Amino acid sequence: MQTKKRKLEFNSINTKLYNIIIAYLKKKFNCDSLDIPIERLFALGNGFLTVCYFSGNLEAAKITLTGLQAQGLHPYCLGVPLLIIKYTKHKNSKKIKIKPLFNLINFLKNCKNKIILNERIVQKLSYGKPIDVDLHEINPYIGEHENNKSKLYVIETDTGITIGFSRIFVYKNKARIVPLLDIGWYLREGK
Amino acid sequence: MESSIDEYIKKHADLFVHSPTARALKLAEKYKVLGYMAQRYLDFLKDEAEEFLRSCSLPLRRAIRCNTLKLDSCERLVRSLELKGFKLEPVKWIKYFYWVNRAPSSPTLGSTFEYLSGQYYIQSPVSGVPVVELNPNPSDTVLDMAAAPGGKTSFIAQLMRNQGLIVAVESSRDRTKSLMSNLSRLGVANTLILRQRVEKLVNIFFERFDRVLLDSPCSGEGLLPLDPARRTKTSPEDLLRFFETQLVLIDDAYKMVRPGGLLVYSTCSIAPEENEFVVEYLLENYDDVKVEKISGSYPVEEGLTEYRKYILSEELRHCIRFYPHKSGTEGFFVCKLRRGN
Repeated sequence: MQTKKRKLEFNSINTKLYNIIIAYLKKKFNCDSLDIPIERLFALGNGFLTVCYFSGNLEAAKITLTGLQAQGLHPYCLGVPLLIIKYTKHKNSKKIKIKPLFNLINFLKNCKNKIILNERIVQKLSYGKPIDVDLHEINPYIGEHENNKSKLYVIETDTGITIGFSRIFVYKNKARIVPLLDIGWYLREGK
Repeated sequence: MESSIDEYIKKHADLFVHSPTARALKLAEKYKVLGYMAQRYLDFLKDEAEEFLRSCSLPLRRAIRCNTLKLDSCERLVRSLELKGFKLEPVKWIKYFYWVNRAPSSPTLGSTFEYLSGQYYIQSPVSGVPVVELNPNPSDTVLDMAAAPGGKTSFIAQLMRNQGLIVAVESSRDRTKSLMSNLSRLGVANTLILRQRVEKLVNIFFERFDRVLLDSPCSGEGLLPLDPARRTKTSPEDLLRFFETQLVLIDDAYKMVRPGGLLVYSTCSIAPEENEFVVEYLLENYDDVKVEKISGSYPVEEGLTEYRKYILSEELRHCIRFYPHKSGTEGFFVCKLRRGN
C-alpha cells in the first residue's frame, strides 16, 4: 500500500531540467523542434525520476494531487511515462543519464533520426536482440558518415507502426541495429 | 452501533442458504456445476436455466476494441489485420468493437505489431458497455475503481479523447503494474494511477467526481463459458464475502459521486446477490439515487425485480443482464445510477 513510509515525490518539472531534456532529445534524435509543453510534464521519484506527460485537465489533476499529498499519498503515475532520469556522481560533479521510454515516440515526429524497415526485419528486432541488415534494406539509406554511437533512431515498420528506439552501427555494407527499447518488451515482460 | 451495511447483510442472510431440489441437483450433475448454483439458475432463469447451462459449454468469440487514441481510422486497423489473415466483423451493438471470426496460427492476436503498439485491445464487447453507459465527456473528472488491467480505463480515456481526468484506483501491486503497462501501451495520458484501497480515498474525494465506474470484484459467475473452473469454484460463503465487499464498495463509490453525477455499477457475474441486491442497498439507504435507463440497444434481459421471497425495487428493471444463451457473450450485469442534485 502507498503510505507515508514511501517517500516518493511527485512534482512539476523545473525549467533547468526541462531544458536539459529538450537539448538531449534534440541532439540524440536530430530534431529541429520538439513540442512538449513544460507544464504537462511531471516527475515522480527520488533516486531516479520518471518523467510523465499528462494530456488532461491540469487544474483537476493539481487539485487531486494536492488532496492526495495532504494525506501523504502519491500516485504511481500521472499520464504516460516518457523518460527515466538517473543522477550519477562523477569526479565531484553530478551527471544526468536520460533513458527514453516508448511513449516519447509521439513527440518525435519532427525528428530526422528515423528509419523504416520491413516487417520481416522488425519482427527480429522485437526479440530485443541486435540484428545485422544490408544497408539498402534501411530507408532512408544510412551511409558510413552516420556511424555515430551517440545518436538514437526511431524504428518504424513499412506499414507505419513505430516499434522502438535503436542505435545503429555501420560497417562495410552492413548496419547493426541495436534495439534499446522495442514493443516486444510487452510480450517478454508477460504484461 | 450496527452499520447500515451490516443490517442489510443480516436482513438478507438467507440469500446464502440453499437446499437444492432434486431437479437442481440433476442439472448440476449434468452440467458439472454446484447444486446451489443450479438451484439459483432455476430460481431466476426458470425454464431457460438448462439452455443457459448448455450455452456455457460453447466457446465464445473473441473480440478486440480499436483504440482511436493510437489510430485515426479503425478501417485502417481492420485492413492491416486482414492482410495478416484475421477476419473481423464489427459488433453491431457497440462502437469500436470487432468480433474476431478467424485468426491465423501466427501471429496470434496478442503478438501483432498492431497490438503491441496499442492500436487495439483484446476485450469482450460486454465489458465495454459500462463505459459506453458511463458516457464520459472530455471535460469530466472520472473515477475508475478496481481499474486493473485497464481495459475499461483505456476505453474511458478513448471516449474522453485523452482529456479531462481519470483517477484509476487499484489495490493490488501486481495488478497495478499490468494497469500501468496497458495504459502506457494504449497511449492513455489523462489518467492518474493510484495503488490504494478505495476506503482510504472517500474523505479525500467526497462528492468529487462527475462520473464513477465501479466494475466490482466478483465471483465471475458470468465467465462460466470462458473458465470451466468457475463451475465449482465459488461456495455460498464465498458469494457472501463478495456481497459484503460489493456493498462496501458501492457505498464508497456513491459518496464520491458529485450531486447530479453518475455511478455505473457492473460485474462479470449473473448472481442476483452480487448485482440487483447490491444496487437495492443503495436504493434503500439513499433517498436521492435513481436507476437510469440504459441508453444503448443491447441483446440483454432487464434486471430482476423478484428473486426467491424478495420483491425488489421496480427501478431495477432498468439494469441489464447479458447471458451467453441470449447474446453469445459471457454473463454480465450493468446498472446506471444517478445521484440527485
